[in-house]
Amino acid sequence: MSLNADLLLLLVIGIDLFIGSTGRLGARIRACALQGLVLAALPLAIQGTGVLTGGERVLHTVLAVLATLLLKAVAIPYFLMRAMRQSGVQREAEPEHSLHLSLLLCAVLVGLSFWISAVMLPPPEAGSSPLGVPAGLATLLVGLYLTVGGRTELTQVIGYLVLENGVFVIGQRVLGEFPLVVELGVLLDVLVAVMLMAVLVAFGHRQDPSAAGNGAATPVGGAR
Amino acid sequence: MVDGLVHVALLILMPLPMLGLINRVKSIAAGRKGPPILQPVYDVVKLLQKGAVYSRTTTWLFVAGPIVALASSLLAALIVPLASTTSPFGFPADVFVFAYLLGVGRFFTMTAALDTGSAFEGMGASREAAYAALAEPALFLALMIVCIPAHSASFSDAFASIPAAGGLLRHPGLLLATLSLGVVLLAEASRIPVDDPNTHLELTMIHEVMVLDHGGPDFAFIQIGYALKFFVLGAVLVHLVLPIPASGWMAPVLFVAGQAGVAITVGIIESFMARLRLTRVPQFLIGACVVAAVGVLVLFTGGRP
Repeated sequence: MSLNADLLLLLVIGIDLFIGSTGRLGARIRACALQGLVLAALPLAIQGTGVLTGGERVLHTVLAVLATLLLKAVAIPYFLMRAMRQSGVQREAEPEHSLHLSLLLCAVLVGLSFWISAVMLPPPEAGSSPLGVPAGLATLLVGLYLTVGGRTELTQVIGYLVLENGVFVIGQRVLGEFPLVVELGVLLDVLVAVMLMAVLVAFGHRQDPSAAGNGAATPVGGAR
Repeated sequence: MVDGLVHVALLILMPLPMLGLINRVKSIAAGRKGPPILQPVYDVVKLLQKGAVYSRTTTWLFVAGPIVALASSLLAALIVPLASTTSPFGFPADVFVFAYLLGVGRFFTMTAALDTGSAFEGMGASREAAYAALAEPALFLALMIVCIPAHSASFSDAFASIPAAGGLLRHPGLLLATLSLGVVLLAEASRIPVDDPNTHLELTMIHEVMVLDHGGPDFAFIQIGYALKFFVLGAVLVHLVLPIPASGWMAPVLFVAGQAGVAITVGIIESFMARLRLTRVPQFLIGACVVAAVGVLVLFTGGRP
């Protein structure tokens, strides 16, 4: 395939940084969808060294691409968007630190992951992109930071999703080819988690209207 | 010899019409006919024929500002290779001199602004200093991406070492360097989304507010210096994006086309984007620094060409 794996992985890192630097939930969710799209394209760019050959391999790749595309780029962002609209939360409520700091922190995490993969991990096999492990690790760390640092349920879910994307990238790079079962397992994991969270958010909204006021729309001194 | 002449001819003829081209793109996007592309040239000629008025509170610094700004931009334009991979006036480690020439010009523009004693100009100078401090690391990091593989801090070696085939994907860092330099260009040349060259509201402008008190030939110098600054940063961008051959008739043609492309891109950005809120600009510039830093990291992971 003529897709450039390096470029796709750079795009993954760029999306991490963007998510870390924007406060608007809508932009974050759209960026997540884009990241899902990039991840879906990733198997096409990898010359796998797995056991599957010929028709089986093609079928496997097509299935993996379609499943990733459907779940990570369409279904999950759709549910997140719906949850966002229902909860009325539009942007990260009074972030604990400024977005500058958040962006710099993400940059430090990206640097850390490059350092870790250069110093502590074995060098990549010949033929695979040298960016794979650093990009995956960076995505994982940024996702972890967003999950831990998020103040609303939605930002935490988005962070968790980014984290799972990182696991996906690393898995694909380390194993060369995901066994289909593992792949589906990871995808379903995410889907279930996100849907549960979405339901929770919506439920909380219906139960207690003031709980929806985590957003910037709340008047100062309102909900909490 | 011929290279030197082409170089000087380009840097005399191109900068001002490039600004005209940006305005033309903007007017077409807005459905207007727009001023002629040579309008900035006419403006400068008109300004040069006028006299200058100096306030009694100003000192020699106010007079020196435009002159130093123009001189430093001119020197910077001599250092950067234009229609070739080597500059006839280049020397080892000229990358640093280039960056600090831009810094010297900025410093004197700011000092001249402060010298007027006007509160507005002081505000502009303060903003310029704040944004420049953020744009400079991005510029250095982006230049590092091309300089490290060449093992040299001169533009000639760095540009000569960029592989010719493969467009922006020649090596992954190059794309990031281009992005980050593009942001630096917008910030340094005070274009949208960092600054709006057309605004005339003192509270929101950055570059324009610093030069409010300059008139006549002084203002003409500032305009030329500003156009040159845009031109040299554009030239660096063109070299990153297009494989400019070391010599031959193709080099100037590609270079002029590339610079026109830069001007048109900037024009399109200005037509479809609003200026960022002042508090959002640092985020934009820090983003450029981070992007360039990732590019440098990529170099060290075997993404090296």
